[in-house]
Amino acid sequence: MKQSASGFTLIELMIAMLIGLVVSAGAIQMFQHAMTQTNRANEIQRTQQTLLATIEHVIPRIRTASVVSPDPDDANGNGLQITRTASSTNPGNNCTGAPNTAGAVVVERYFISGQDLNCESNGQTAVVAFDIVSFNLNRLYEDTNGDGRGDTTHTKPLPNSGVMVGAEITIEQPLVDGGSRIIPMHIALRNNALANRNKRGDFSP
Amino acid sequence: MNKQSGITLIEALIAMLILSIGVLALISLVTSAVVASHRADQHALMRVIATDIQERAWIHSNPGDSCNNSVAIANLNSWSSHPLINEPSTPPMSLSVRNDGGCILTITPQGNTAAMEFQVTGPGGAS
Repeated sequence: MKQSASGFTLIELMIAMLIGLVVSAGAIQMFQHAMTQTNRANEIQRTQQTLLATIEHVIPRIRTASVVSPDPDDANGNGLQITRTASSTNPGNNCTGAPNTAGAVVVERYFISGQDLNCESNGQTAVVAFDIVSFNLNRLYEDTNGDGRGDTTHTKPLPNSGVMVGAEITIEQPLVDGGSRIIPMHIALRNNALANRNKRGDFSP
Repeated sequence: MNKQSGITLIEALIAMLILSIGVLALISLVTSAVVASHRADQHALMRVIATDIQERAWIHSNPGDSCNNSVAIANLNSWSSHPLINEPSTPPMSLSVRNDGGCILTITPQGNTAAMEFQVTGPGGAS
C-alpha cells in the first residue's frame, strides 16, 4: 500500500526538471530562429513588392512620355522627370494622385528623399515608394533620322534636346543581408516611336 | 493500488522527444518560407528581364525583323551579360531565344525554379 503512493524520488524529479529545462531552452532558441526567419521572408517580399509596384507605376508614364530627363533640380543628374500629355478622353491622375486636366501637359519629377521615392507634380509632392536608394535615368535612345527607332545611344551627361524613343532607368534597393541591388530596365517611349513610324508609313495598310 | 502509480520518467522523456520532433518540423516550415520568398523574388526579376527585352525590341526593331536577325535582338548581342542574370541577390539565370511563330524568350534559372517563357513583340508584330 505504502509503496504504490511513493511518487518520484528527489533524484528522479531533478533529472526530469533538468531535461525539461534543456528542452525548453531549445524550444525558445528555435522560436527566436523562427522569428528572424519570418522577418527575413517579410523583408524579401517587401523588396520584391516595392520593385514591381515602382515599375508598374513608371512604365505607363514613360511609354506615353514625350520627353524624359534627369531631375532638373538635381545637381548630379540623378532622378527622373517625365513630361507627357494627358489623354483628352481619359486623363487619369498624376503621380501625386491629383486628377489631370484633359489634354494638359503633365510634368512629373521623381527624386529620392531619405530612402523614399518622392514625386512632385503641379506643386504637390507625394511618396511613391519606400526603401529605394536611388532612382535614375541612365540612358536615352535617340531617333535622329525620324524612323521611330533608337539609332543613337546617349549615356550621362544626357542631352536636353532630340526625339527620344527609349530610356533606361535604374532602381536601387537595399537588400536584407546588407548592401543594395541595382535593377536596370529599358522602357520604350512608345508614343514617340509610334508617331515617327506612322509618319514613315510603317503601319499603312 | 498499482493504478495510482502515475507516469514513469521514461514515459515523460518519450513524450518530450515526440513533442520536440513536432516543433522541429514546424521550424523547417518557417525556413522554407524564406526559400519561397527568394523564389518569388527571382520570379519578379525574371518578369523584369522579360519586360526589359520587350521594351528593347520596341526601341530597336524594324518591321519584318525575324527573331534571329532582328536588330532588336542583335542589339542585345550580349545576352549572357544582361546585368540581372547574375544579380547576386538571386541564383543565376540563363536566357535563350527561339523562333516559334514569334519570338519566344526563355529564362532558365539555376536550381529548382521552373523556366519561364515570354513572347517578345515589337510595334510591327513579330520583332
